[in-house]
Amino acid sequence: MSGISEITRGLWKENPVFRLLLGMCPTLATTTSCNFAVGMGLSALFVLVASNVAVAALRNVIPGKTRLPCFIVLIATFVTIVDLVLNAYVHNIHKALGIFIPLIVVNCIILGRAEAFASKRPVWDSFLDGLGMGLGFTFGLVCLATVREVLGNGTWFGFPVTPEGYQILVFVLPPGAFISLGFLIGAMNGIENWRKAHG
Amino acid sequence: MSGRGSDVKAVLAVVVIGAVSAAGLAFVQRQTEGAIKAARRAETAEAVGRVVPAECKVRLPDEDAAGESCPAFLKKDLGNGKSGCWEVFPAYRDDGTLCAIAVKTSSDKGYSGRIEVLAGFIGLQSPETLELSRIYVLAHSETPGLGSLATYLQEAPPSEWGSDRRKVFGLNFFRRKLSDMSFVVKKASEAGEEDVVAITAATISSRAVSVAVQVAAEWVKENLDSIRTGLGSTQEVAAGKQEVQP
Repeated sequence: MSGISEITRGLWKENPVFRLLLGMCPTLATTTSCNFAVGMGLSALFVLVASNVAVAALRNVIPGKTRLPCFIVLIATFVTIVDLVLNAYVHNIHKALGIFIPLIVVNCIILGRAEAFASKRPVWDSFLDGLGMGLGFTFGLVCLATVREVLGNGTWFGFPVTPEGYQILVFVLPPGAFISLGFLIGAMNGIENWRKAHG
Repeated sequence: MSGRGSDVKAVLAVVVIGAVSAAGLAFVQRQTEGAIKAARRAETAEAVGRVVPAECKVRLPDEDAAGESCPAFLKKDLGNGKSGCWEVFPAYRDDGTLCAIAVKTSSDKGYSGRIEVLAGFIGLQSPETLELSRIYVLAHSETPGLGSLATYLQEAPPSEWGSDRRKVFGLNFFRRKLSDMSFVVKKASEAGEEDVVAITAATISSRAVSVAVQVAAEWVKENLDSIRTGLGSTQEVAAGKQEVQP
């Protein structure tokens, strides 16, 4: 039971995109298309799970004084692995995500979970936490990308969904990212308030 | 003493984790090296294949042979005393004769910086017959929906392009004799046949692409003889084929 709650916490209650507002830079930059959002989300998910597990496994070995450099080295290693693997096997997505893959190293969610959770908890719990947070991040990115791609480009995962000429360009531009994110956070707060009010 | 001991332990932890990470990365890098090279090569081959006619077979240069140095005819003056190399990809007919070349060119004057373009040329017999076969935008950071329209339908076959140059930017550079082109970018209402029709609300991006293509076109025109000689005399290629298959 606690396993499921670890996962759902990242998906909804502590969703990194909509509740914690972490990792905003890639969130705003890579959500012009759902394909990129999935690519970015799954890359971050892999790094989150791997770094959480590694940090939890080494938590009794890593001294407190140098824990941050150790965490960063571990995270950078997993990010470089993702970078190389994407470049080799999904070259188009790697090209589209560009600089945002290496920048996962300094993503607040990854280091935040390593420091706040994985360094204090057992491996299994940290694995589930990484999985939940990673899925939550992917979910957030896909929600935002859906709004932006459908309204701004008239497609969803590349498939046309609105007639030509009915696109609102601003949604694929940076201001559209902020506007969409604001409305999605508002909607999420609204749902949460309704849930609280109705038990 | 215990303080110093804990410092040593702390440093040791970073060093050991760093060393293990480096070893792991070296392993992954070795495993993916071939696939990354193949993906890049496939990407280039695909792009070159798009800008040369279908009957021409693309021959990519040997990757290991490519390096800093290049033959004299491919030398490029980058300004400030620096020089680089033109990236040129030849394509041959079945009989081994040179039928088209694709030239990688770029302009830093895009709305959001550098735009990289691959320009295909045919009619290599003389500067008078020289023709642009097609262009393909390889990389850009232009505004989605505006400058990015330079890439509109560029992956589709020209049979789907129609004839509206305001809509399909690639049409400006499709099967056009260089002698008939001014490379001047103008609004659709003002542009003549020889001009390039600007993408609506993205004149800067249009101009950057046009300039990049023009630079490549001028270089090809001026160096046509040495390009033809340097990229494998067609007879030699044909003779080589005959030796393999007598």
